[in-house]
Amino acid sequence: MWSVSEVVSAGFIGAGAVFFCAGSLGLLRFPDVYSRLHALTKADNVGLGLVIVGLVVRSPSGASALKLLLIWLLTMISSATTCYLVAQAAHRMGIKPWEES
Amino acid sequence: MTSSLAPFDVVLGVMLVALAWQLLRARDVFTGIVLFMVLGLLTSLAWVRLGAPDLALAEAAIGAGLTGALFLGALGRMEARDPGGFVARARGGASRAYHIFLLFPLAGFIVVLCRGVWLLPATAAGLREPVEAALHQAGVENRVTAVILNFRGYDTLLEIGVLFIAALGVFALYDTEAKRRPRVMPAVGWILTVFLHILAPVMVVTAGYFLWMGAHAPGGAFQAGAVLAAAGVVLRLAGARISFTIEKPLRRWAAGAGFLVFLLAGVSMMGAGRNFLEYELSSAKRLMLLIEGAATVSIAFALAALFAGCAALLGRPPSGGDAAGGQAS
Repeated sequence: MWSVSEVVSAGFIGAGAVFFCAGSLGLLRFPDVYSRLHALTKADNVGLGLVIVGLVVRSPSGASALKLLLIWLLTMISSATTCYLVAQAAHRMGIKPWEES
Repeated sequence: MTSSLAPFDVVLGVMLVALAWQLLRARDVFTGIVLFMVLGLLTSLAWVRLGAPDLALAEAAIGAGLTGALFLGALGRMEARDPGGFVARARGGASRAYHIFLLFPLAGFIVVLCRGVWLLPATAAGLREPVEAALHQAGVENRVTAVILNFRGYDTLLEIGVLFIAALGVFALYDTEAKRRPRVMPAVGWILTVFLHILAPVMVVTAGYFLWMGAHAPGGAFQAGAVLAAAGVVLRLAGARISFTIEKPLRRWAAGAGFLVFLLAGVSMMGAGRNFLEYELSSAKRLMLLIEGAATVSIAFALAALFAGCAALLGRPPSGGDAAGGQAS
């Protein structure tokens, strides 16, 4: 009933959703701001990449596929930069990384 | 709205209400501002689900982005005058009886609203048919742009005028303080600068893309102006010496261009024997593009000036750190 491309894209989008859930779980469970940033940026970027691949599979034209990939690239760049800025601000405010005690 | 996405819509609606509730219960202003930005993003999703992509673009750019930046800048300024006064205020104040007394009219109001929405016909076409019927006279294919710039152009002219007046208020209050205050470089590292070398040109191109696509796809002057203003805001945050005051004549023209061009376009139609703002069909598209271009510049300038006017304390040096940019920590 579903075509091959729909199944493939659903699989990719589902895997991306799993990564997003993992990132949110890390946000809720990790002990300090640095590890939470780690989980958020890495897992969310991979999740977004998988979702974008799933959308590229079923995109109607090459131009829209290129636009989707551009969105992913820009999001990766901006999330990496904001992760660095937040970590720098936290470090400057004196927040120490979590130590195993 | 397709019925297969109904669970998504229900979840989105519940999240909107829950987020608004959390926002009102936020213990300090910073939490409230962050929740407000998230609320803006979710509202943008809601616009997409309601079939209004132009509104979704504007909501994402202005509601979630620029307004959040304005609130944070204002918070920084308020906290400089009253450190710690806006963080985790104790929930004192009105008594519980007062809250319960307020609950009844509020609940009644919500019931009336919900009943009104429930009784709306599910497939109301609204103004779609009259607009579709008159679209061939508009000169553009995008219905939203046709309504905004052609059929109801007078409203948009006045909106741009209102934005211009608000910017005038900022200019009136901003200049004197800027001269008195010593200018301190914001303490950011080189990564933000490198990021901006990539991002600022992309944002300018995106603004131009929205402006051009506004004729036949979701886009338009407000969305393009909001993206440009965001570019100006990020450049200011990174310490670029870009000024949004009206000392120089070029910036004065930039601030007033949108309203002026729109007004002149309308009046010039009167000179050709037509009514005010009644475009001629053959030149309508070019005229609207000209108006939209000038409006984009003005909207971007006004919004960026609103931010620059409240970003007074961005140069506050960190405790024990070097104030000049460039340290790698």
